[in-house]
Amino acid sequence: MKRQRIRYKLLALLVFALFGGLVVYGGYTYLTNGSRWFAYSKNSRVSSQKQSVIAGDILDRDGTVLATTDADGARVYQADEAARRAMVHLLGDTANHVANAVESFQSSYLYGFRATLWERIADLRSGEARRGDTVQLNVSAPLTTALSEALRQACDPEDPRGAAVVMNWQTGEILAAVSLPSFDPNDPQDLRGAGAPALNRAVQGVYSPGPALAPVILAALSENGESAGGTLGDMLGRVSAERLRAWAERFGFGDNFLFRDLVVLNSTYPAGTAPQELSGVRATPVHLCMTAAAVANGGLMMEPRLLLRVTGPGGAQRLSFTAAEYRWVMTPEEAARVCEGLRALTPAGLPDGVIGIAGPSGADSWFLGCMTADDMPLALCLVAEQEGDRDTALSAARQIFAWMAEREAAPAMDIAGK
Amino acid sequence: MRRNRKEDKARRAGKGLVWAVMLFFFSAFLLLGLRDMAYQGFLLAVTVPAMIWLGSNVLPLLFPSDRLLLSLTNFLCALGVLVLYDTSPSDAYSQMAFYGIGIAAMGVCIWVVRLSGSGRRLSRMLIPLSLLLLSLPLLMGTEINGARNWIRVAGVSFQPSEAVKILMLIVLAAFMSRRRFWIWFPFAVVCLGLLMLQKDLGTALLYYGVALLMYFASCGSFAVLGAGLAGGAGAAFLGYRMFAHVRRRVAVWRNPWADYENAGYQIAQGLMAIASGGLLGVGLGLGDPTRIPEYRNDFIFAVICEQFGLIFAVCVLAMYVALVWRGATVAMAARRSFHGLLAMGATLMLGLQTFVIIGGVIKLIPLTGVTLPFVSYGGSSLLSSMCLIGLIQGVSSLNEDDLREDARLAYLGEGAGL
Repeated sequence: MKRQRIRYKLLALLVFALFGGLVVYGGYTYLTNGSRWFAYSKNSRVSSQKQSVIAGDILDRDGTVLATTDADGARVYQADEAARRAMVHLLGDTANHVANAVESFQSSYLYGFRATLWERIADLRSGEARRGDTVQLNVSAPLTTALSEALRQACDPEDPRGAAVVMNWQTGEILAAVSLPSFDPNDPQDLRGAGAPALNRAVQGVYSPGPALAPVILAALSENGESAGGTLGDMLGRVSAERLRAWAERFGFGDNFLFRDLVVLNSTYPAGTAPQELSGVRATPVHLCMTAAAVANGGLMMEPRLLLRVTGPGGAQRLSFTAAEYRWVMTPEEAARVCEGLRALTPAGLPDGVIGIAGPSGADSWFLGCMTADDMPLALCLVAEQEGDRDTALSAARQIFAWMAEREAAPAMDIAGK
Repeated sequence: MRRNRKEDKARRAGKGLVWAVMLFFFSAFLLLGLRDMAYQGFLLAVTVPAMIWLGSNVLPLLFPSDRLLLSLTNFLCALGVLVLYDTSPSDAYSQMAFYGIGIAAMGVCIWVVRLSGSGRRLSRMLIPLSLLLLSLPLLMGTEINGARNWIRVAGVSFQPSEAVKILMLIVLAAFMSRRRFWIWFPFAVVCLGLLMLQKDLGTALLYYGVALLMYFASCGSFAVLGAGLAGGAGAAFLGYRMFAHVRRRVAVWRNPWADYENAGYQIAQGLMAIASGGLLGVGLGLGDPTRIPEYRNDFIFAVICEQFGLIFAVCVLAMYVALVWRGATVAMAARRSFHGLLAMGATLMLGLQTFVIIGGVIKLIPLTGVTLPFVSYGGSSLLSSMCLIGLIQGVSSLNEDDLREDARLAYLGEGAGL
């Protein structure tokens, strides 16, 4: 009987372990996926909450109102149509045509699901309609509009298609992200246009990166201290398939991206991909921007962050910006070597301190690069879905770097004051 | 003296717990009654606490009982009635009736265990009865949710496999305690075969797991346990390869969102409910839990998460942990192998069933159609869970008898020494 009792104890411990597994898995999956489940467009709880709660405002980093709710309860976006169209993929729309934009993905804030018990009681006592939280983004509205315009001008004027992302490589703040074709949230007819206007290509468009894979290729090449001379094609001939794939995985290819503020499609690097045949590799512009940002940041990849702060209707601060490390991709020494390699590939005509690469990949034209100065820590990824020489994306990149250089108060610089 | 003081303290704490539980349910039903201004809510605000009081105090008058086990059982049963009253009031009334019948059934089980001796005679009768009951759905059953495991007799539907759970535990405990492998093993195999024919995979999984762990408890062979687990995994793999519906279920488990409108709808709705509840829940009577198709049965845990929040859900899980701990304690204190195995088997049945259904709801494991013990809607399920507690209580009462007898003999021994 004594041994039997020990076995009973063991079995009880086994059941406790199973229950412990439930708590650990449940907690982990709630923390990593809870906001995605909640924000799913078919979640009826959000749509019913919309009937009783006035949606909170969405502001850009400078406090410009990007979306608000008027006295009649209607959602109102910026007055300027160009700005409205530029921001629509980030903000979304009332009918949730854009998947996982701020209007839907942050609905737990915008529709007051995060209100405390005391706030709810106070609302009940006041008898007034409840208001959701104000969500302030890291995004700069003027920069986003300028980026959208630069990309549009570089693309086919009849059918502009592409995406671009600007992020702060030190902090991971998303300062601008645009996708073309766009649509006007005030005019749903616009959605019928060609090229899937509701698709946010910056985070949901998976492209064959071509030259934008340069940080990965250079990192793989520099691992053994090999020189990064020649064209990108020459370098690919000097790196083994295994090493290239291993470096791609270090840069986040194959990861399940579960970022707090953004839903980003996973990038893929199929097993057995030969360095000379990279057409099966797929990545989103925001992920490629992260790869360039990691190189500029000494090998540390930052998680892209969209939210600057969230404030309750009574002024309570629910969230404020904190930078989050995603992973160390390489050592600072390796990153310095990759920077040098990238510098050698940088096309002419870009401002001082900008390193990057431009070129075509199949039907797309790419630019991936960054400003290396610590006071302008910006990374830019730009893709234009248009066959042509590398200047298609490069001309847009030149335009946007010039725009940023003109404004000394670049958005990345004043984060400390926020 | 010290023991008496300790017992008094424990008894006072137990009574305090019962009153706290009664107060909780009184206020919860009162709240729902005020919301609907329906007399049924007010009636339940009185009858449910009364039932808790009866359940916690009447049985201890008849048999020596484990009061903590009774309090936990009563809380979970009342929680089921509460959630059902909010979501499907008519079901709450029948659940309430079965709760009352369940308390009586628990008393019967205690009585049966106390009279069963070594269980030899009883188990011989139960083998044919179990097989007959398990065969009935194949002969005259109706198919619900893909499984043919229900029968309807005199206008009442019930699930024979729920009753056979109890019978099987008695048979297994009786023959395993006497090492009659060639009696219990074929019996368990035939039971499993009949369940597989009914396509009741969830119950089959439970029967298999409990039989295997009980055998380990009786013989202590880790080799047998390992072989059993490997055999189970092999059978699961074969089932996956052979049956399309198993493959479909696994696919839905891996990504319910891929087929949201059809097969994935239930799991996705459950996850949305959990995410919408957050840590503190949307509140009793609020949210949209009836969107989940099986909100009364398999997914009642998701409803609890939505309305009461994850913190409360973890507390509910802790109650099951306490229940398993008490059951194992009772098994360890048993003087006879049959009683120890019986109490441990009942404990494992409740523990594994809880793990399997909560694991399915939070997407840790593929969903199998079993109920959450005591909480889910259904007379058969509630009665069988109460009977399992009855088995544990029966063994507990025998343990108490043994202790009293020891004390009496010690007292007599001391007297003889004087």
